[in-house]
Amino acid sequence: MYDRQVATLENIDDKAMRTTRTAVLILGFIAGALTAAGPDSVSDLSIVPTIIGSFGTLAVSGSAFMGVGIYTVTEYPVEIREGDLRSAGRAPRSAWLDGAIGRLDDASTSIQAEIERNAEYLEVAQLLLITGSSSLLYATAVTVAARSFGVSPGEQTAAVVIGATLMAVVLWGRVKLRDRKSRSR
Amino acid sequence: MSKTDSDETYPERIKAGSDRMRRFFSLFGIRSAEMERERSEDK
Repeated sequence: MYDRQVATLENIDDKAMRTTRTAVLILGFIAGALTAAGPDSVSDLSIVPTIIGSFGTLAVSGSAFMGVGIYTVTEYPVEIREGDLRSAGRAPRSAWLDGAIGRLDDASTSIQAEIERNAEYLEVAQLLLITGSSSLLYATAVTVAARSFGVSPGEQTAAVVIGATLMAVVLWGRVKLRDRKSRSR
Repeated sequence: MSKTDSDETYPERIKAGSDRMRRFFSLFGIRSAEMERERSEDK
């Protein structure tokens, strides 16, 4: 049981580290692209991709920071301490075992709290990463489309917002319809 | 007599470094469950 909890916590830390690695790679690409494009590259962009791209960069940076935080703050409870091992020979076996089981129980309870906490942080870090990379992708797509077809980023964003709203309404309608059908059966 | 930096053993120095990093991240609300428990007990 305790072994499995430790493995889960290690798994969360591992995922946090991989999230950080991905975020740092994305930030490196952004820095590389901006350096290659020159100092005027940002001022040449229109306001919509600049705002969305900046938001995306901030979100990805936040994800990297959180990822580092997750595996740095993780504390593994010590179920058996050095003093316990030293006293092993002196205390009667049953008394020592009783104490060890109690400490293992405490360690299991505290590691569970740590797992839940780290899992929540990881969710936020991954959400930031996915939001940030989507925003960056959107900002790039809008800029490329504006330069290729001459449609302004503002118009494109308006079209996307209207499309997404319509899609949300259609999906919501379908869910409601399915609920009504299942209730009438 | 208080311990100076040079008196610290290697594991103690590692632990002190980790604790410093934990304190730094706690400023941004990222805390371990143990730190959160200690914090709520202090309040």
